[in-house]
Amino acid sequence: MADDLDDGIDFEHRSFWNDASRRFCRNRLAVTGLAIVGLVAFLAIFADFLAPFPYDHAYFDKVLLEPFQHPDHPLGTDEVGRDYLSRLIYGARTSLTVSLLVQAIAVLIGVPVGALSGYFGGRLDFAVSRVIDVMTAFPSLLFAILIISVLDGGLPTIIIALSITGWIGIARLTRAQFLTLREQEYALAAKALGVPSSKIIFHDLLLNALTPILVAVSFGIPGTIFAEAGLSFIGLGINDPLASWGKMVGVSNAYVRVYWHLALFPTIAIAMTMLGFSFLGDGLRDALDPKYEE
Amino acid sequence: MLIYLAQRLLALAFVLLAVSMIVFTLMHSVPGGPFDTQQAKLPKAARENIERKYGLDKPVWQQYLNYMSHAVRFDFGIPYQQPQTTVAALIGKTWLVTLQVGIMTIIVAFGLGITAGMFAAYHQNSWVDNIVTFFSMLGVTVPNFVIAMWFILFFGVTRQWLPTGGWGKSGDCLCYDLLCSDWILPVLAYALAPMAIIARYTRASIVDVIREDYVRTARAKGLGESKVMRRHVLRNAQIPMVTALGTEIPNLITGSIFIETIFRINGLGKFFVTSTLNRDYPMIMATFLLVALLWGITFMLTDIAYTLIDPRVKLGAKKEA
Amino acid sequence: MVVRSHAYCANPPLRRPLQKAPRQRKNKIKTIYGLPTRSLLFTPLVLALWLHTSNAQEKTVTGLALPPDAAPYAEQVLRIPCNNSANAVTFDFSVSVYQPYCGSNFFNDPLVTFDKALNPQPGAAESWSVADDGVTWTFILHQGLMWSDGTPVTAHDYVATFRFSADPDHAWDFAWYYTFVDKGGIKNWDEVIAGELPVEALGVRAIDDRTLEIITKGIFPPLPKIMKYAYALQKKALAEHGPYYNNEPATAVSSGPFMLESFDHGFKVVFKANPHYKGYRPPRLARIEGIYMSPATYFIAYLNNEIDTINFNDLSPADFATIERDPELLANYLRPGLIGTDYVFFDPHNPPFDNLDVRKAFAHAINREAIVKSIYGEIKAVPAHTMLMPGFPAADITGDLTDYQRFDCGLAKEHLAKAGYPNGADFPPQVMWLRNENPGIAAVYQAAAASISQCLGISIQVSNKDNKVFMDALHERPTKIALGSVAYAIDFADPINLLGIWVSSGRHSWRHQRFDEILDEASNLIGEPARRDSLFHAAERILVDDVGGAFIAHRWAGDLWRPKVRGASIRDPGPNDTYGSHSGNDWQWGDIYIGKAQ
Repeated sequence: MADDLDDGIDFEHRSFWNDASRRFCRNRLAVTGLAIVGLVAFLAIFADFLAPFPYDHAYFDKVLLEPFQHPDHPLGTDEVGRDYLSRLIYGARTSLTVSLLVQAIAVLIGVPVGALSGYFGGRLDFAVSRVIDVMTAFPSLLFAILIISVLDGGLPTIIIALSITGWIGIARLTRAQFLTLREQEYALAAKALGVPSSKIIFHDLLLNALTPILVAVSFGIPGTIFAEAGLSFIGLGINDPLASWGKMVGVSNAYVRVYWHLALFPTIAIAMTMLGFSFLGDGLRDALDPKYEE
Repeated sequence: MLIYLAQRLLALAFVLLAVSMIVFTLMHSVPGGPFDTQQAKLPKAARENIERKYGLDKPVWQQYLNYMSHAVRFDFGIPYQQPQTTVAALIGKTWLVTLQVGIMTIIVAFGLGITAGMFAAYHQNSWVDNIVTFFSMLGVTVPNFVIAMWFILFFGVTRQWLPTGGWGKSGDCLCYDLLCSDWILPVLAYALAPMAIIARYTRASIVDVIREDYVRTARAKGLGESKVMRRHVLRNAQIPMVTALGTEIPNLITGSIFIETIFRINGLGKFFVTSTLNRDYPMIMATFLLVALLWGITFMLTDIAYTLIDPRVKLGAKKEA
Repeated sequence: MVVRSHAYCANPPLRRPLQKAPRQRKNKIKTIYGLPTRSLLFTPLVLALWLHTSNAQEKTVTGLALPPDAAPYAEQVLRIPCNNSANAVTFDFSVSVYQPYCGSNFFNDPLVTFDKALNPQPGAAESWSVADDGVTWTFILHQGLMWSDGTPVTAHDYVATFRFSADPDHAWDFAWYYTFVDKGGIKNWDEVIAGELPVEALGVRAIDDRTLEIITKGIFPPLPKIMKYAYALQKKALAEHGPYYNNEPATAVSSGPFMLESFDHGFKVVFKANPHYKGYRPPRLARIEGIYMSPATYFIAYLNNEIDTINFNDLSPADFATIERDPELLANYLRPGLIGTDYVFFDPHNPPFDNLDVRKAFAHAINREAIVKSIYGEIKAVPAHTMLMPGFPAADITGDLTDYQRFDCGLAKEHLAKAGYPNGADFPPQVMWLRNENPGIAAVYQAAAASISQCLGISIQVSNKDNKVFMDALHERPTKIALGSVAYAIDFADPINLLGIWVSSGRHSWRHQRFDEILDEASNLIGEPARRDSLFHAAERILVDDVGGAFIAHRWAGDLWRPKVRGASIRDPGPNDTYGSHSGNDWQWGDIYIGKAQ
């Protein structure tokens, strides 16, 4: 029918997603963010091919080398004689896996819980809020000790240990957003029209609630990396010789005043990753936001 | 509102009860007890003796009831780590110091963070924005114990400008014995990460709001920028800000083990970790109950704040249209 | 007259140069180097006075003369670092061993002390002897030992202290010790701590004020060495104020070289020299100040001249790197001796470690020399092939035990193949447990694991466990730790100490009947030192041959001392050309002093 109205002028078929992706691509920072995240993901996935040395091979004659002190080891070696560049690359795999999975679980649990609680209010909100109250005081360290002694160390256990309380912040943020959003005119209008609640929540309101969630996730990524490092310190993290950026930063603390490279490179890696996710998150929000001014 | 408050306080009591049960159970399920020895096994009879002395030989539910019956009378027991004092006295003494650190950190972090965030939001994608983003990233990716050590090395040792620690002990006070120069380094080191987070959330929330139609209308009406900011932008940006920033407050007033040990502050922060590692049951219970209380109160206050900021938010049931 | 400015100065009016008044030749005083010559007559007097004052060395509060190169007594202050995050409840050993305040054990003297060669010397006890039955020991206290409140130290104080230590109500955290030393433990110790017998049944008795009788469980010749830890609390204060009487200056009583002057909890503790001290180590220092800080900042504080000494346990790998690169720091890092052994242990009751060839493969696969050289650091350790370290009584001096665990990757692979895992095929992946080690030590154990896995082609991960989880799992029978690495440090200088942990009732699950028998026989032996040593040697042979543990390295103890801190106890060489003194060597506190500024 619409085509009958054309006067010979060609319209490009524009959908919401087309608009969104075009807005995204125009945003230089967002593209940079995507590139960084892509690079890190690439390192993580193809670590076996990219790393010049195995991450766990200790060269006892090449311990604590500074960067460029030896031609084979541009980023130096660590305290056991393992090539630092290789450990950094493999570390991308561990750190990214753990942090993305934990944040994904946090979003998958936290967002629906917060949304439902914020939108429907009343008794549901009261009950969910109390559960959140209890979980914020949850002794995650005790729980981590327990679960790791029961289930044995290893990535899945760490992810469980970190996820048990990771969803709370996002749930609260989402709830707060939905408390306001449900009173917006368009939401009330949709309700009046008889649109089912689920559609209102997931179709109309969720995109508008995105911003703080994305910020939380962008902070959550380095946060999780360090939480995992903190667990390592107390004897609960991933085992050696597996590499993870957070653990590399943690261990470097005892060496840093003389062997600065042990701390510098993983910190840069974590910072770049966080920056990448921040820009990506901002870019996504900007692209998906119908009010974005071009 | 009063009914709501009463409901919340009652709920808080139930939350504390639930937390106490969870923590108690977890505590006793974790391997290792408070009186294990380092080098050789304690003879069985001796071990049983110690456990009998501290009531650890009874079944867990009985120990729990025993604990709760004392706790409701505000008797939280004696810490295994410091048997000469009581849990309540220890927490009271150390928390007072941590509170001081925490409150100063909150003032610095919130003040600077919100300002920086606003600046960045208003000059979105300019160099100001990029600098703020960069520093906020730095504040979060560099662990605060690293920052603390470098502060000490730089300001305290190589340059000798500031004392290297000791809360209230350097005797080097600035204004009327209230602000001492030995709070500068710890507060700054502690505030960097929260400042970064606050700046980011502020910026993001304000950027969100700035694009709203009503802001455009307000500007079109000819309202001055500061009025636009105050009446329209900030008010509406506050809801997510209050949520995110609200969670920083309980964290900051319970202290950081790193900042406190490195800067020689006798605060509460270290007990959260050392109690767990040493299996100091009375202290574990007390510290977690305190945390639950603080968070409960914070949530209550933020929920009330929502209604104040946005009158449309009703905390009761959603009325069916 | 008008005062003019530059012009006047630039062009001064011509005048006749001032005539100097003719000097009147009085009796010009002859001078030598500005000093009137006549005054030189006073030289002998001046010299005499000068010599006298410099020879009138300052005295300490106990009347001891300070050495000639000592700084004035007011400057005899030593500053030590205190850990502000450690749990601490007491200064006294007998109250708690694992929760000590900084500067513990200044307030009384143990019965026995050690010299640099780890031989027992009289401490508070001037002599001791054992009766013919071999279990009844008599310790005679020195005459005239005093508490700082003017009362004499008596054997009753020691009895009260032993009884307090064994009291089940007290739940002393070191109670395992007198059980662990088995026959050397005090009679009825186990029953008393279990509450089965009253404290009065403990085998200690005061025969008179100066005579203390100790009855051991069995014949145990090295008992005097155990009495290294026999400190005394004052019976009166213990009864009046309870075991924590030393925590406040008002109630503190000392029979040791120092007294508590002030205690600002968490910030600073100050000890002053005890003027009433009559024991074997009168202090030369006037004060010791303990400054609380985080161990992470000890070295910075040392470089910043805030403290005067640091123990090797508190020095990070970066600190050691700095010390090794600075000649002055290195010259002042004094190492008194080897203090413990790092080793890998197994659960030999379950596969794969129930197979001796597997354990031997592991032992031969550890490249100790490279690990010590590059990762541990020769300043911190020496490679180990046995449990007893060089210089320790009954240690392997000839090196004939070295071969059992020498590094030989080819031989290791042979053993593994013999065990049924050629080239590591099908060998189950292992996880090596560590006990909450700091990064420096964890790196060493990781290197050992890497050395084994790289040589044998198997997979070993390393997991740094929570302290209590580790000990719990270790002590369980059957043990829950299949593979782990840990260290053991000396408690007392006798082979029974270090080898004793390997007996069947010890902390590890390895057992060997012949080993138990030999150790039993050796500990019963009286008066045949050569035979005793050869028995221990034989026991060690079994230990290394049967690979109860795969030994990695022996640890060097060490302390960094500021150059101005002097004293024969730390600056004079000990056996094997070592310097410094063991931290347990309490004689050092009576010996060290601050030298004059140079």
